[in-house]
Amino acid sequence: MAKKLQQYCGTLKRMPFAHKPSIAEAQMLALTTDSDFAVFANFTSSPYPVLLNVREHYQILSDLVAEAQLCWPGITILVRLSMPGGMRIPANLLADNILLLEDLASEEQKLVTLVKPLLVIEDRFTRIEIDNNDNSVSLRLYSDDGLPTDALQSLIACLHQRGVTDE
Amino acid sequence: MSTDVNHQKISGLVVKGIAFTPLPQPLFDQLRPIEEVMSLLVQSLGPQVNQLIEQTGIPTTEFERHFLCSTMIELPFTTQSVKWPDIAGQLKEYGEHQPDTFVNAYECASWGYSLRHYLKQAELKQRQAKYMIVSIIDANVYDFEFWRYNKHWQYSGFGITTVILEVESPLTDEITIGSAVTHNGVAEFATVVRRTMMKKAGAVVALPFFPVNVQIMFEKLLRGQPRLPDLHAKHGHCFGADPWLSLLTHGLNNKIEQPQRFMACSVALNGYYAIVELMLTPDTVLIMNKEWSRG
Repeated sequence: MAKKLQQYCGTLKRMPFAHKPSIAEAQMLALTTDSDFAVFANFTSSPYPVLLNVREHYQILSDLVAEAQLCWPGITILVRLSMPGGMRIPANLLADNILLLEDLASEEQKLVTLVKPLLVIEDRFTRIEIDNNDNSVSLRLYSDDGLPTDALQSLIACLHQRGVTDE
Repeated sequence: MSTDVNHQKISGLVVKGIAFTPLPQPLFDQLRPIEEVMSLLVQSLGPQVNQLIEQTGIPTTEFERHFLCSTMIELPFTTQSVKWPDIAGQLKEYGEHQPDTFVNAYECASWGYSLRHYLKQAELKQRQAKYMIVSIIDANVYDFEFWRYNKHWQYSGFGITTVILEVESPLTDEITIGSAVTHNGVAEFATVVRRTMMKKAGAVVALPFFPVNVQIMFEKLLRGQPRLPDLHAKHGHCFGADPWLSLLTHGLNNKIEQPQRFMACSVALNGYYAIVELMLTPDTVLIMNKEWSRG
């Protein structure tokens, strides 16, 4: 039986928590030697603005996952997230129905035929210029059951509140 | 230090094989292009995986999933200097059973979180997981000073590790995965290890390698609990590979004549931890390769 898929694509356009002060956290590797600095200087930089820090990035992911756990208890969730954190990942992102990984494609491809429902959260929010991200975010929800067209609405609303606009 | 074990209790998880290849520090005399470095590492990992599988005699078709984990290889991917699908594609040249998923978010505990995910997916599919394979790679690919030595764990050690586990009987409480809630993650981890061991009398703990000050803390919190020697002085802190290197060293130095029960433990700087009860047996394949040649 074919999986039903609902998906959403958006772009972060402003600071996600506009009316809250944001901690200026460096959150980067300690550089000490000339070689360390030379390596960093050679990384290319994204032309997209840095609109959030790591703490705020984690907060958005945590909010999305909390909403998803309410909507679909026990749902398998894949989230694109890697080192470096520089701070501890929120506890709800460490739940046993969630996997945080660098590249989602392979895992998503495997699970989509086996697991239901499955939610994929893939953001490329720029946290530091050298991450070469473009501030995009996409959600994909797979289910064997018929999905209402607004199945992702509460997650999309969460993103809208945090400065994401539709593509 | 006592490493006696209680042979009457068993774990449902059996170590079928461990292979470790030390990496030199620095990796090269001069920095090389990152694509070239990653390809050279693939050329070490791929054959290591095949060597270990071949010696265990397990058909490669038995491996459904293979995760590659790391603590400190992130910047090539974070900066998008290297793309994981390209690396996975290169690994596939060594077989379909090579790693196809890369996990480093949980740092040194990534291997434990990956295994938990695999077991959970098997449970959802209502089937019994049989073999699990995970590889761990940590290499100072940009030769950053922080990764050579820092105040947190002093000297680092680098290497490529592959571990094959077999689920011999349905698992109950063999795997403890979690995260610290306090700011002192390593001390909190030690208390969790202690509490877990109290339910696992006779198991010998294989801890991550840390400098003497942390070893003293472990000594205080784990007093009376059998554990393998800390190998920080010899290898440095080798990230998620530590417990596996510890078990490998123990198995090579002591003939395993009957099954022995251990707790493989890793903790991340940010407090994520993995504590897994498992068995070494006389059939466990143990491979300590020579230090990687720079090529």
